[in-house]
Amino acid sequence: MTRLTEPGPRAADPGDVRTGGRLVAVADTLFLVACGVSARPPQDPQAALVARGERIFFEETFDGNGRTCGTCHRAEENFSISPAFIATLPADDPLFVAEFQPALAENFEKPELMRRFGLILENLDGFDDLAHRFVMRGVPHVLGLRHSVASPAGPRTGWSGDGAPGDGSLRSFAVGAVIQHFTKTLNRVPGVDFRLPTGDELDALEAFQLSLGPQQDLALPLPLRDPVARRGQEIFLDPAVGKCALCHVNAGADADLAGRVGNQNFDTGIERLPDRPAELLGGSPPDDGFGTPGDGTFNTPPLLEAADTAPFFHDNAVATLEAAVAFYDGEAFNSSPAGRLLASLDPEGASIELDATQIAAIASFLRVINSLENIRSSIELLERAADGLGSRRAGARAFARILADIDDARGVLAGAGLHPDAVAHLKRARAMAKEASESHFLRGRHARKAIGELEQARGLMTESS
Amino acid sequence: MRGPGMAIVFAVLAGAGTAHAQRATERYIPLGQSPGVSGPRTVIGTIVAVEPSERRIDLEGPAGRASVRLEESTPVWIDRHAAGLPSETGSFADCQVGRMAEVAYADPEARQHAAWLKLRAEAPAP
Repeated sequence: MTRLTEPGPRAADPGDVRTGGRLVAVADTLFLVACGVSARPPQDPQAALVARGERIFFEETFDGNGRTCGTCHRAEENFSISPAFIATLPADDPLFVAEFQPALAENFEKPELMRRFGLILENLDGFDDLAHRFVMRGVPHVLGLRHSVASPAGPRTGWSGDGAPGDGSLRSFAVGAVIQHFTKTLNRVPGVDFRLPTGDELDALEAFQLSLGPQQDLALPLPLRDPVARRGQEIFLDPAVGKCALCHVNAGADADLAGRVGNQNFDTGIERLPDRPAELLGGSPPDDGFGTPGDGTFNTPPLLEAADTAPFFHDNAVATLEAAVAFYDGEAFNSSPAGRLLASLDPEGASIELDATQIAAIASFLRVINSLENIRSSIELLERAADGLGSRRAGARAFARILADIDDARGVLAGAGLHPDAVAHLKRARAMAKEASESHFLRGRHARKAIGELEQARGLMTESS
Repeated sequence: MRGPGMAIVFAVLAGAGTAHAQRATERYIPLGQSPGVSGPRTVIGTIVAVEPSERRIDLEGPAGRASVRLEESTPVWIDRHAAGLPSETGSFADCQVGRMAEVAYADPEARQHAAWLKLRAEAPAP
């Protein structure tokens, strides 16, 4: 299991010294101005590699158009990006380079689809006909990649599982991303329009991405307290009802069909959904998925962070979690190759048939496990924050993630009226984490209080923490 | 139902072992720099023989001599980045004796067929 930082010997926590608040605030300010950094750098090689990968991910433009990996994979957006977040960005954000760099005005992005639906242009079937050969895809999060890209067929990256050039590995992914998204012009000449990542940079980027999110899948079933979420979990796991776990073992990205077959691609019929939003707006061509020409399949994403990473599916076709679950009860899925496959495995030959209460129950289950993952992630980052978070930028990013994770933990529960008691603890945890983010001397104390609130929230959601 | 179900499972998963690397951006990666591929899964060298009837080329490089066949569908790209120019789509006809090339094997074990071929652009005339 990779850690961002190894726990080293803890220095005496200055926050434990009883001091007047004003004096501490002044001292905090003086300290931060004097130091320019918030804490010591990581000591062990793996942590240093991850820290370097983080810096590259968020700060390295590769001499291109100004974009970084973090331009689309935002730390405070679960390493994805949503239309609502896009709407908050200034006009000169590098995400919008197609709107202010003349060389990228045509055939680089579709600004209306980007702003309205969070869709990014990709030339996955080649660059010979830029005006007509492209697809529009959402930005997948990069959490839990350690297990979700693993497949008996080799690493599967991106929405269709073939997102990386070279050997197709996660390590190689950044090379393709720089060529596709970072270029200054559509000539895409290395050394002119961008530089390609070095081998060392690819190593660091891979290490950072693998460090994000859960390092192992859940072990379902969980002892959930909420009866609706608990029932949702039962339906999710039931091979005769929800059938969800056949392709999402333990709510991850592995399938269990003819035995465990790892992370797989399926044609689930998303492209045959009627009234897809991007189509209604116009300008979004069909997406043929894996390969060139494509076979219509797309890669299975993990579900642990589904509830807080709307919109859903490769083309951001639906905006709500409940609609995403309901998709599997519909005609598009059940007449698709994947739907027919599930029906063929059913003793009655039945497809997925869910009523509204069952859809809501499955979504409630996904909301609760997402909230629990947010709590786990927040606690991990807060524990690290108490020890120091490297550079000030890294510290700011870490607290942005902590606050966003706690907000998400509250949001996904409150969105379905789940665990109001836990939501109250999460609200207090958020306030404590904010205090920690704004203090240096009292950071450890505030962080530990936030952790305490998070643990109480978790205890209200599961029978054992 | 279990029997037919298994058959469909295997049919659906039949493509799982196919190549999963993306081809589109590969054309812009300079000769010899494809991550995880250049070296272990490619051969780099000078073209020393061309057999159009078999769509086969022979390369001589540091690792010795290699002979590989290109299908009609095998992508051929011309790497012009050293001149500050974008890569071009080429064809088998661009495979000429004396040109530097990199061939990625479709099957690195068999080393018979090319998955793609990159040619270094001719040096501009002085």
